[in-house]
Amino acid sequence: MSRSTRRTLSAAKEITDLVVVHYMSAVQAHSEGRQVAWSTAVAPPSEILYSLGMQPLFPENYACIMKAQRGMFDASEAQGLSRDLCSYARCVMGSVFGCESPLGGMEKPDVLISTKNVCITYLKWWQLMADVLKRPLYVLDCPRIAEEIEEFHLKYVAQQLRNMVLVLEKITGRKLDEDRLKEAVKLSDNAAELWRKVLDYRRFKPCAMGVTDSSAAMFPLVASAGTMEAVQYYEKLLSEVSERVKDGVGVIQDEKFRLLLSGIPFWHNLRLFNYLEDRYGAVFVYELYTATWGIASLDAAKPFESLAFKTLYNPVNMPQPWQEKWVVKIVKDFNIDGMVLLSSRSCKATSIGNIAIQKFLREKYGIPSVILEADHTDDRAYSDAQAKAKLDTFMEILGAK
Amino acid sequence: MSENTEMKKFQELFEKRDAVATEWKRKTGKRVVGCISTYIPEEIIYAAKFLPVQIIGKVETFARADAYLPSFGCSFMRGFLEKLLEKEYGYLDLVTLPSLCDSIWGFCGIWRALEINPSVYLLHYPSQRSEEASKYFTEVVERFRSFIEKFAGKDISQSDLRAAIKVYDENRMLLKRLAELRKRESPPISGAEVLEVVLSSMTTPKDQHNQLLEKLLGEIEGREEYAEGNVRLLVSGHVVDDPDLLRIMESSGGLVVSDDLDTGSRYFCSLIDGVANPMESIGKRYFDLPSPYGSSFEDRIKHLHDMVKEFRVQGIVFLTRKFCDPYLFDYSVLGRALKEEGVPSILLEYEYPLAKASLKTRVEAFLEMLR
Repeated sequence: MSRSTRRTLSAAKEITDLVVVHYMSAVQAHSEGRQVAWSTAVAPPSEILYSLGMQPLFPENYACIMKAQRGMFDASEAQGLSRDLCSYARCVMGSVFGCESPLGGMEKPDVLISTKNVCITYLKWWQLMADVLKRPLYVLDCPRIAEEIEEFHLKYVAQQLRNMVLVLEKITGRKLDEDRLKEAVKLSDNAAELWRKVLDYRRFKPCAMGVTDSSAAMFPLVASAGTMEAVQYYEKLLSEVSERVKDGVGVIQDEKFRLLLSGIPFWHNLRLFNYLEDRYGAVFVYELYTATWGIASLDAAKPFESLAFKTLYNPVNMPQPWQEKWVVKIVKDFNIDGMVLLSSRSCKATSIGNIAIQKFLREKYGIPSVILEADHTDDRAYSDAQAKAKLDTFMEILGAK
Repeated sequence: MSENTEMKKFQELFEKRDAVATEWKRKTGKRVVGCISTYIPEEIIYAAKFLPVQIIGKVETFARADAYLPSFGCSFMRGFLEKLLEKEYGYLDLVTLPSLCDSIWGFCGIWRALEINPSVYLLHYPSQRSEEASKYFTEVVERFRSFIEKFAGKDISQSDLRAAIKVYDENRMLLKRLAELRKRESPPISGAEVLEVVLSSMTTPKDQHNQLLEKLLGEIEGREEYAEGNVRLLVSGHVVDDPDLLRIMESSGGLVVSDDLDTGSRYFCSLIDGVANPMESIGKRYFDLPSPYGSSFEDRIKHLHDMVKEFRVQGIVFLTRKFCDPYLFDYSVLGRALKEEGVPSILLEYEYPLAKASLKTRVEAFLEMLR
């Protein structure tokens, strides 16, 4: 099968421009006397930031767009950061330490916000950036959910969000308008719901959106949750995807295998996914990673409690039985043939359970899977030939000729 | 130092910790609760008349654990999993863990999925230092108490709690007295020995340990025996569960006079005190521990700085297992900050089985620089 048959969504093509606009909007914010916050990217309190007229930026996203800039890693390691630490962090720290960077580097923050709901790196990396940049840091402490989300957890996170508002009001010199916040939460909820609908359309065969498009199209939900722009984007995306489904058009037409992806995409080599499509007609019809951002429903009438829920309710923060049920349901609902687990040595949060997940899925449910080992950002030890060989073997097991 | 008779008892207690706990269990008919790291309020477990024991993660192979955890997971949790699967921890009735890092969380998930005993209890340790977080942690500790009560099938009385605090604080004061003997120019005890005493405290009933500590102190406090090395070192890191790691330093001319370890000062540096409201006092003690999980860099630097002054430290060894994210991040800042204050340091990463020769070479090079 030739490459030309892969159909990229036009909404996904727009993302490249939107990313540039996003980074420039921070420059503009400063020129208008508005403040910039650097925030963690999984369920960030963007709704609050936008309501206060602030512009959030997301270092993790910046690492994705930098792809593998080796000079960044060298600079970080020269400052004493171990090569075993998160490559998002090492990549961005290169820029923070002063390396020449894409888009002129991220606009410097007035405050840093760490929502500690995914990993210990969220805390340590943000402390490090605050230390180097000499800017204040607000840590939103988030309990791991060992059983289920309780009032006890929600109250704690909601109270911290309220405290955070007080801190931000001091920094910005502006008062939070609660009606504006409610509107932002409503918009955030709308965008998330639209995203869920888009993902749901991928149940149909042939799958209308592939992993490359999906990894791009999640961007507004990360960067612009709580804005009208995000809602408009997902409306457009939904209409394009639903059109495709109606017309029976897939990302590739000759769809033979339906795959589920776990882990952070290897940003330095998204072409690896094309290989599966081109060679085997194997399409990723769902990614646990991209689904993460749309998972929580929010109630605009209770903005702080809703945002607390969004903070807590993300797959990495949920207990193992919840995760297992979630994955098994996706496998069933999306008619999945097999699962690809991306294992990044420098991301324990998304990778440490992979060997066990593989074992449990096979033994308890008969779901085949393969583990691909590579770093999500640092490509220095990456071997494309090895990755492909591993995928070849896996596809053989799935029954490809 | 090896002819020190009292010291031998501690070494033996630590080496035979599994047998000690098993025997305790057989004799008392009560339960043993494993604790990961120094952020679990053991007093509550002790007050329920259970035996809290700190987990030791040292192993020689990861043959079984490798079927579940990748090599880039922290080797402490991999080692613990190995021992659980090998049934070496068959005497544990429950495991309690603080939510410190991704390896602990990953372990919890895997252990849950395996559905075998002992069950695990995760205790949230806040990453923020505010009144809100402190209040929340007090509630977390209250919930932990309720859980332990349910597990015990009976309530823990206030007087049981006070008694537990008393025994634990006494142990801390004695350990501190012992550790501070190393403020002397020629300490009567080495760093490796202090570590052995602390490790044995972590796995032995505290009342018994207190009696032994009194005796040890009685024997050595007045003595002017010299520990081997003379370059005064501070060791900073997490759980150091093999005294050989410090022996490598002390047989090369170093003398570990102070530490910032879970298996060291962090275990005994602060008391609970305040018995008026035991639960609140317990929560406060653990919340205030200096660590990479809650403290700011400034606080950690100041803490190290103070110890350097107090113990006249010449160099710092940052000692961490490979792949330990929080400590590796902190090293990049702490190492630099202390260097600016004129305190040299090295980072020593290790894995089990220890590569002793190469660790020794690095230590020797560092010591040479300090002389």
